[in-house]
Amino acid sequence: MNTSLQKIKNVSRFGSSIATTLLVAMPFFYIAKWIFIDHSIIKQLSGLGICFAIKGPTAFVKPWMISWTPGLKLFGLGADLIGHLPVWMGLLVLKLIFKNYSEGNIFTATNARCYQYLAGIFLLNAIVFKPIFDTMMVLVATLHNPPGQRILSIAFTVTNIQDILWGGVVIIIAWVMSEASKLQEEQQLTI
Amino acid sequence: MKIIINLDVMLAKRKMKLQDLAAAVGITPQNLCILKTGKAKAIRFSTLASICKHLQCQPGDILEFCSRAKK
Repeated sequence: MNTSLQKIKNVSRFGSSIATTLLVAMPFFYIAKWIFIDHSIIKQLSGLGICFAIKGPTAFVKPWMISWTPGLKLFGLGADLIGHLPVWMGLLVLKLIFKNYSEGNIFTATNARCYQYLAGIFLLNAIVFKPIFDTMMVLVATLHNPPGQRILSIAFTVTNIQDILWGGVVIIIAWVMSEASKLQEEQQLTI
Repeated sequence: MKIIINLDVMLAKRKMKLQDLAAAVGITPQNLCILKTGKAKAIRFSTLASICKHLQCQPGDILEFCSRAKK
């Protein structure tokens, strides 16, 4: 029993440090990406298999095919940060869950609430952030086009439905966690 | 509706300390304190039997049903 708990604590500490690293690294990565989006290094990295393509209205647009202006870069950075805000929030919640696990608090009401937040983030991403992100990215990809060829599209695709389904699954997990915390409390208060 | 625990009354009647009863029953004083203060959600028959045995009383002397809701 103690060995299992110790294993959970160790793995959670590792998970927490990964989440912290990603939380700090993510904004810097996106800022660096948009600073060097018109640099040849992006083309070289794309050659290595790292995808920097921007989702256009019909297909992915390669960054070196767009004539970048500082304003357009800033707009792209804003879009990327808004689009990835749910991921950042999700990592924050995961860090909190891992922190609780590393302290030995497994089936607690706090963890159940964290899972509920995670489900909310999934749903918020599917309904709000993803459509905004896609719309802004299409704008970024077509804003350099001459007037009349710029596109503004709002889409609700299979990936949005996928995220809603994931949100639903996490809601069920949150409910199970909540019930488990009640059961554990009852067990703890049985003399 | 509530179950009232009269463990403190029985302990006073028998002139027994909570720690002594806990040691005799084989549970921690903290757990017995949870029971005494009414925070417990359930009590095992084995624990109840052991408490009754050491206090020389009946379960009804320790547990009391109160129909009036208390805040």
